[in-house]
Amino acid sequence: MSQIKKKNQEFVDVNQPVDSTLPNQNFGYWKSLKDISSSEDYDKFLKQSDHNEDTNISRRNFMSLIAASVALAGLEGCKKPVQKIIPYVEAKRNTIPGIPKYYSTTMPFKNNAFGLVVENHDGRPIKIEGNALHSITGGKSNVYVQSSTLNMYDPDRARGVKLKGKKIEWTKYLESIQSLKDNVDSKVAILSGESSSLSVKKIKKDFLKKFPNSSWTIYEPISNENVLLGIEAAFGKKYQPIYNFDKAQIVLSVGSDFLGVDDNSIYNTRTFSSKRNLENENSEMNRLYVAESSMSVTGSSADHRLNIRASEYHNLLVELAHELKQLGMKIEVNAKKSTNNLWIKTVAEDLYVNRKKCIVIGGDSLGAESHELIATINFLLGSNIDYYPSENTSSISDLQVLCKKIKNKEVDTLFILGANPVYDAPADLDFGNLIDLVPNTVHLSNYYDETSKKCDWHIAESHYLETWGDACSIDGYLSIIQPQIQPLFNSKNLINVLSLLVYGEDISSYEFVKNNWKEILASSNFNRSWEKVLHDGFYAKQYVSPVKISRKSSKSYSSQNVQNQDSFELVFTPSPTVYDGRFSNNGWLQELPKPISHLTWDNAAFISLKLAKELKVRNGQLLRIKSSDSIIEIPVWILPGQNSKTITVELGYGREFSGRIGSGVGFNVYPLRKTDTMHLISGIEMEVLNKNYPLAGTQDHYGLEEDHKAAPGFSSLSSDAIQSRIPEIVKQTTLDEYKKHPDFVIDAVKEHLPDKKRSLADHSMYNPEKEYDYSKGPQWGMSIDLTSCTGCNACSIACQSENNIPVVGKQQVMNGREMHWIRIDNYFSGDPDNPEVSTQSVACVHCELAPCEQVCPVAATTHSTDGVNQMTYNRCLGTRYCANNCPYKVRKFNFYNYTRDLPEVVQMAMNPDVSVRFRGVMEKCTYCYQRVTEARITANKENRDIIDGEIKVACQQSCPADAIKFGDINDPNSEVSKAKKRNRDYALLGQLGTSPRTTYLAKIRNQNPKLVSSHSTKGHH
Amino acid sequence: MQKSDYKSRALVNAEQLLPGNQTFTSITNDIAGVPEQKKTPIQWWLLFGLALSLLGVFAGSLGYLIWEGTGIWGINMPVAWGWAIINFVWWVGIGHAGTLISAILHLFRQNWRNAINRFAETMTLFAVICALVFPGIHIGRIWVAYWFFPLPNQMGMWPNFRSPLIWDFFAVFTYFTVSLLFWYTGLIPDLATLRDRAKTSLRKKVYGFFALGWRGGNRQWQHYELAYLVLAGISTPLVLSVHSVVSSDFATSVIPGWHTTIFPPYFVAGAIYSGFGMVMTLSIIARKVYNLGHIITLEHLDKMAQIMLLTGCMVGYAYAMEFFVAWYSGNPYESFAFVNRALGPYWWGYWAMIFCNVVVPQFFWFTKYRRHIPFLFITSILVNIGMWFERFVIVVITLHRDFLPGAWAMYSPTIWDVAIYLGTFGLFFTGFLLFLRFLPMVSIAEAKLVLPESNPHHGDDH
Repeated sequence: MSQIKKKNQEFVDVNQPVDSTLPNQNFGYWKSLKDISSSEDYDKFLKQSDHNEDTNISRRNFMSLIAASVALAGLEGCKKPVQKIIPYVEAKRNTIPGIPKYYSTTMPFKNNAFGLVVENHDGRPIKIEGNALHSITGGKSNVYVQSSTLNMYDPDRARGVKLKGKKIEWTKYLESIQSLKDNVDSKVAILSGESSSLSVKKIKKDFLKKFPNSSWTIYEPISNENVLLGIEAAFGKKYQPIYNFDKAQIVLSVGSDFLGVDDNSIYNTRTFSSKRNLENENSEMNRLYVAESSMSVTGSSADHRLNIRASEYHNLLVELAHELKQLGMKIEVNAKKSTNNLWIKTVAEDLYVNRKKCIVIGGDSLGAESHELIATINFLLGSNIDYYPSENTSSISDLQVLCKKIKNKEVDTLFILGANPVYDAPADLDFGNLIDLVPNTVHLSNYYDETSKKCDWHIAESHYLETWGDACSIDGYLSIIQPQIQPLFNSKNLINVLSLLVYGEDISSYEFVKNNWKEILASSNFNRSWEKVLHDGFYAKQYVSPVKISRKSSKSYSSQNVQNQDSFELVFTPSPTVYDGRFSNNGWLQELPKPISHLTWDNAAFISLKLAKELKVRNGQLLRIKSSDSIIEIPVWILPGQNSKTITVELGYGREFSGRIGSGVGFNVYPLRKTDTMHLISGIEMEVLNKNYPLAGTQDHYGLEEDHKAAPGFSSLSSDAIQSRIPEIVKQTTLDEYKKHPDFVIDAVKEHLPDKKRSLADHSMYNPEKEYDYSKGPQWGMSIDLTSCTGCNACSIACQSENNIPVVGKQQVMNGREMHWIRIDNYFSGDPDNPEVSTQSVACVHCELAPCEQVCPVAATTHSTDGVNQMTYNRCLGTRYCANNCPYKVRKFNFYNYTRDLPEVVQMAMNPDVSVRFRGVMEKCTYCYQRVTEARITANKENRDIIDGEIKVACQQSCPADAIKFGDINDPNSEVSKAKKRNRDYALLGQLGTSPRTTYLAKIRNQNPKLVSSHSTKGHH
Repeated sequence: MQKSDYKSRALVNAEQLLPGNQTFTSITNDIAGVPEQKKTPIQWWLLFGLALSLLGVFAGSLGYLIWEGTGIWGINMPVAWGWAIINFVWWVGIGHAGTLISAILHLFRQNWRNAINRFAETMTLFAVICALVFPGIHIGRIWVAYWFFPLPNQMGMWPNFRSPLIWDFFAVFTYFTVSLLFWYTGLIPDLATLRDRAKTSLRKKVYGFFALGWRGGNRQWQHYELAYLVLAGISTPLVLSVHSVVSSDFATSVIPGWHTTIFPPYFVAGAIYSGFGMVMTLSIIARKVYNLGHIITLEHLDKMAQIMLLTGCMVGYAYAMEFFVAWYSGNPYESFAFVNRALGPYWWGYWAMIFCNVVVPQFFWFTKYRRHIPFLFITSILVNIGMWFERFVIVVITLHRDFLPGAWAMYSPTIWDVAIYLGTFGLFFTGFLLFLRFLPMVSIAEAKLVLPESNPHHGDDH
């Protein structure tokens, strides 16, 4: 005993920080154990475990003490949740090391809630999947969900409590609240982000009741406030719309990226893609029209896309209403005809014919008036939209009121809970300076960020995986957030921070949430219902139901005067990776090639090819953008499909905080954003600077741009080659052509077969059929549907999380060494201003006759008997020959030891089922073989075959479009076999005879014959 | 008729190849005099200093490479092979001239080779050493490079004999071994000469040890000539096989631009071409530094230039044929690979290759240029620049744009790529200068063979 105690004391001494007042980033998480569990933690742990005073050790105590020491030394499982949580999938009584447990929880995202299942290895949440039972996620996820584990294991997160930058005890904070809590006249203001939590709503209600002079403001830099205001104008009240794309035949999106960056993108993509899952040529398929100024994920999935200025969205809608009126819709409208009349008229006809089976959706950047018109059109068309009561939503006007109050010194104490207004509030409010006028400020946030520096108190905020809470999805289902691990960094949540103030006592969030739910569940046997909710992750009864709406007034809508056709406008858009900046310290997200632009580690001013030629700029050249008194400098990035008069910039970059990943990455564009120009600035001034900034894009060639480095006079050489390859690589046609020639894919592939009598394998010197019997046992294969794939990137980041794929940094990406196992290729064809996009996700296709296997000098890449091309990392000596000989170029090489310097906290995020690769070895997609093996072991133990659907590979599991199917191709009834039997099935580069196991389903565009012009390029043969 | 022709040709040969009244003694004095010099020429020291500093660059950059990993180079995905493989192929290619000169020309009784064969063989040895460096260091985990060897082990892990890299490994190692034996065998009589002339006991012992007790007796010469002939016979197929195997690294792949059957002969021709370029460069320097103009004569240079013209035309034909076949195949990927070489972003590399390898040697149709030493010197260097670019074209330009445009990327080398390449020159020249200093750079015994005295028949009919 004394020995152990001595050892423990030594440990504490050795790891004692020299100066405990040092800021967090100097805590040295890189180097040693102390970083993960500070000495205070450890002391506390020793006290908690109560063993030190226990001189009379029982066997049980001794074992647990040893276990604790070992666990702490190994940094594994040292922080298990204290409260009881119920396993989601398998209810085992004892933890078996190495066997993960699955728990349900919820990721709150603004006003929405994503129901999740977390794979928990020995007390560490490792991998997140959607909860198949949850109404929003339905088992699927997006990039924010997938990357959120890394957010928690972020060594740069704030920790503990700070007063004016110095570390201080949590109890000191509670003491400081004591005086405040008794003075009900105190002028307290709270500023928070959106939250759907019932507990937060209850605190808010009680807080406002207790302190009548106080206020609670909600602000989100990216919000759908205009949508709600428009709906309020149309229907009299703010309602949250839920779009049921699974019922809509025709969808028109005006500036909305509902499949890409949207609070509800998982649900949208799920429902939208369910109408694109074509069994054969007779299947029904929806049609998507998109009018937008910058190519988005939604625009790239469109059947017809119209490239218009963002400032013309309103007039387009008015013109649409006018055309609908012509067709018989009862709406008062006064429209001017535009040059896009044919397009609008066709859309109107399509919508009108498909009444009650259509949706018109507008983007957040449209004004309230436009949304009012959209709501009216939707109402009159009987669109498939449900409206849910909406409260506690972000409001700019409320924020303005708060700022006014601060200016008038009407706020004594300001709590900023989870928000970062110094960075992201509208620039004209000058929040950074206003905040100094408040005598006492408290900031709760997960990073010591721009706002924290300005506040007196700073409290580290718990990640949703570390804390108890609840949330409500926008379609009215309540769910529970249950912790997967104890807070890593002494962090607190909103309930902890406010409970003493509001209720006079420090209530644990567990008790608070549970007590709240007693009212909701209101069941005779609360504990049982509560456990069921914990098990399922949500409450199966809808808490809020959709409302019946009615039109408030029959207002007349008319076109607006667009000022100055020649002036340039600037559109703000959330970043598809770091969103509004909240995820900027997440390496997975920073390095994720953004959809369409394939840019990593930066934002840029997206400009059109035409404008680039006009301004004579190239990618990376700096542009100075001026709007009234604000100026930013930002590099340009040329994007096909961008409107020539619209410059699009992504929010969320140029952060100044102590994050080693996100600090200083990209360019802060918030300084241009004012309360009246939250989405769009018209009439900006631009100046091209003679300076360059290196940008890291992962795809050099889209297929439309000129190749400046080619021999003089041959700048179109590569684009021409790409254009000729697109129909070959991404086989595609229109729905009408598909109906006429259902076998177009098969016919095209036939041309490439070397000899019709013999199989491809006969042409190889190395006939795999002689070596392996592929007709026996499960043989794994995959099918990817290019029609339903939107290119949202969820698969790529799910793969990164599952397979411990390292982040290599901007410089390495610029050198072409990004490690993603799944690459999403985009090809553009047709009109550079409004191209057709062909999106294709490419990972290792597991060729049966793999070219990589033949050339490896040491047989480090070989075939398994179940048809998987495997990498033996510890045999690989890194000649890279396999990568050269891979026709798909999907192999990734560890040029450096990317994982050696991983902070220990980040090491905790690694999946223990997958090797962490070292320097000098090749890696690539394994078909998530660890999952295959796990299923095989389970099946063997139960003496049965693996059931179809038992194995879901990470990309398949995350894909909200359900475009990826995986399974046994020898089983004729498996999902994948059925997919491969469809007449759209083809092998990418099949003519090489490598017999890939991953095949693609050709892309079908449901084009309206009325809009198909002769010059438009079609991929059919 | 024929005999008198033979005789007169021998005399003419002797006059052309060894002008002036050369005797056995004068040849021995001239050649053996160089390693026996008491005072090392200042030019040698200058060159040796330069070579040593380059060797230092090599050691430094190699150390950094081993420490950090191959990430210090410019390679990426898709261009996973860069300068390392270019340099490997380039150095192996250079080696080929040595073997060709010593073995094939020996079998064909081309006595004019006798002035340059030692030179060429030594060049082969050091070039192959330089080449062998690269497969070892270009891999990701240098510390397990021995896995290339088929070493028996308890896990039964064996190399993959289907991999051309393994063929390559065996081919180059065999080549190195045979070249070393061949070079050493040729040296034995000369080492004995140096031993016999040695003034110090150390020289006597060292040269004596390596001379293997050579006495120059009739039987010894008889065995020696036979052994040399056999080794020449073994080496001859290697001239053709080594670079053919190296070319199969590319030719057996599926990548458009690599997957082509023309590679083996084309690589062999290119190898001989670059090898002669290098021999030319080195011999011009050596005859200048050591005043050996009467031993390595214009006639030798002229003959080498003729071979360069021949092999230059062969590679030129191969370049043209590649394009023709790419077009004739009707395979769009194949066609693009070649068009992209000539007109894509690395077009300058392609045209540098064409200029150096195809245009420049055309001057050798004219005797004037074949015997113009400054012109020959510049040309020989240009040829090797061109041959380096040929490998750049094959390795980099092919890989940077293959099948799927989504994976296309550009490649640019880093300072470390350059440093290691320059470093191998340090390795090469350090070795070569040491050879010049301590061993006879021209085969004494064989140089005498062209003298009329070597032909003891004197008009007799037997």
